[in-house]
Amino acid sequence: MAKKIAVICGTGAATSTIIMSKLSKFLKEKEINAQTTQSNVNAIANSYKDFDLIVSTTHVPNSVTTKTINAVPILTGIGADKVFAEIEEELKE
Amino acid sequence: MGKVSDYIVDFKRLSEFSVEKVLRRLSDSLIESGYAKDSFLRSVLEREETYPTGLPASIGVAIPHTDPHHIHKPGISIGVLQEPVVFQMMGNSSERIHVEIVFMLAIKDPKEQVKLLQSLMELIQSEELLSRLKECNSLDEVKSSLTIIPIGSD
Repeated sequence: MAKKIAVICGTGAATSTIIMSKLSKFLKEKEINAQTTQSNVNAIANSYKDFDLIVSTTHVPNSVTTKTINAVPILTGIGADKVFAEIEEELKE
Repeated sequence: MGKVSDYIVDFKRLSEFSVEKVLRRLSDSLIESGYAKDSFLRSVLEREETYPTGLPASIGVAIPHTDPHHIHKPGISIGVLQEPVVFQMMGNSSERIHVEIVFMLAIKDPKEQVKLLQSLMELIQSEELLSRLKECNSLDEVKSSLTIIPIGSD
């Protein structure tokens, strides 16, 4: 079954849009079957259980127990490869 | 507006020692020149606290911004800090970034905001451009340094 990824930022409008586009491109290139949803940090505090992985450009509260990966390097492009590798690894299991 | 340089409203060299003072000085230009509403400063300060915008690059940068309803028309105010000021890092508030260049964004349209952010992210990957920006002394110099960065390139 396709893993579910939430891509979030503070508002769910700006930086998460950039991450969505870069992550979708990466998943397509790697032929990884995963479902991505754009959201914001307030919404994820309630919906985190619906996702296998959270990719975020903002600090996520500790109450969110879903595995979270910091996506700021994808945003800036500085250290992005390492983060993509981490996401790929996380989607393997 | 097709280039990052088209958005730049003001450029300041600042010798402030706190995030608040830096943000105050930069938002003053945007408010006084009619780009942002009076409520802009308070909102940017609150947002920086909750969702910090410090970013690690060859030179530390920050991109403070806030919600569209505090904005009249799109503009960017740039500050080069004489001494680095410590901002919290975007996405990981426990990390600190010694910021030397601040891009304060007042963008009303979310789509425009995304495109502009994308262009700024390309800009900050260029060590050469950041170093050049740091040496700028006038708005004209800053604008001519940034004319090469188009908006919305992928």
